Amino acid sequence: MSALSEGGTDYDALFRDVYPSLFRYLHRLTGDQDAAEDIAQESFVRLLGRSMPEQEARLWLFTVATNLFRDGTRTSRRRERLLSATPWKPSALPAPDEALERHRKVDSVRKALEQIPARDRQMLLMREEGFRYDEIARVAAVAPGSVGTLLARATRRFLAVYDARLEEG
Amino acid sequence: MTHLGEGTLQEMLDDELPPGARAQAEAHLASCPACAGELAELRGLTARTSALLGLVEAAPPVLAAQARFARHRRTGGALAEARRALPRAAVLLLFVAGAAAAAAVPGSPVREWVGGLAAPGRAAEEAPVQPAPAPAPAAAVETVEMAPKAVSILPSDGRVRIAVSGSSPELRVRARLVPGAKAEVTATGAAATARFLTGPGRIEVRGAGPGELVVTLPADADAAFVEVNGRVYAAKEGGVLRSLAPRVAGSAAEPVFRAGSN
Repeated sequence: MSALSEGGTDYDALFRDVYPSLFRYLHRLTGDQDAAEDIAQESFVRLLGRSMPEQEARLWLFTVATNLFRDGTRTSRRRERLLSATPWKPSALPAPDEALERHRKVDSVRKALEQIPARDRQMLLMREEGFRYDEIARVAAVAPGSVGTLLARATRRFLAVYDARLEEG
Repeated sequence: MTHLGEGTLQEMLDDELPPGARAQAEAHLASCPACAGELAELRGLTARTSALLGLVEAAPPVLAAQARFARHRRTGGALAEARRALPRAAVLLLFVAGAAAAAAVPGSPVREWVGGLAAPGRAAEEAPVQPAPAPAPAAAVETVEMAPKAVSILPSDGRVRIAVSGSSPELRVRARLVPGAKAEVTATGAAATARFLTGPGRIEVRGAGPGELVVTLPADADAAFVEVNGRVYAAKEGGVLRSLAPRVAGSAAEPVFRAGSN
């Protein structure tokens, strides 16, 4: 495992390794590609000049990104309300049934992620990116011993909301 | 009989239970249909959640973002460094100012120390603080000037095989499982020297240089795997990707392997 240091930082390798995963996490967390790009970029910029092992840097980046998202959420609630007033609609052009069905599912997944508690969302998405329980516990600020129970409940809540949205159609 | 809690079952599924506790839990499961049933249910829910989250995918703009990051390192990064160094500089300034005041007092030990430093031939040896070397300019992004190469195929009889051979041991192989039916291999950087051969349900990549190969396996295939020099590195198992070789980076969902690790 390479170490990051101010002199010999392998930022390029770190970027290649972590950026896709961080972007995917943020895209799912925010539901917005531009926001995901901006937060991921800002997180890497804040890493500059810091010294830590690579695996720790990965967790550090996810922690900073999650905090940036939380801070941004506080200041953009009005924007979210405006956005939710104009929900995404499929194109008026005829599309294959399969594509429509996929769009409907993706939309329901996004809505379900928005509706479950923030901590549930964060924990589910971090597990999806391969983080261990002790790492999830640090970022979500919960006891490591409770992560399994919280993840099981988060899974049930997510699927319950998703199924309900799908039925609403 | 004390049944297993939901948290313990989830820890089993996520491979987070310590070996001793896992053995106890497995022994209990062997004789408790209720807990075994709950484990099976939780396994299904977890796999379904993972599959649904996998639907929300957008291609990460890695190259554009990396170029932006490199620009920042060349410009804004230096400013950030300077901001971080300010408190240290302030402390050093106070120290120097204090020492200067003390050195002005006749007979002061600080005055003697400062005088000693100024003596010819000794200053360089005894200087308490070596000047820091000037920071090297941030390196540009190490991109090899070769256009990425990509090849995609559809499964044959539900099967997809990606075979990598004759590559540099430093080649990085990134694997991911995505919704859909198409398998794709993209070679970037020095890996774009590779030759691609395709056949029914098969892509062969030969002679890739020490860049990165991104292998996308389709979730719709019945069987899909990537092998390097005859050894399977990652395979689709159920609805998830399973790593069968030590990963050097990435995550469980998107492992990165080194071609020379077998």
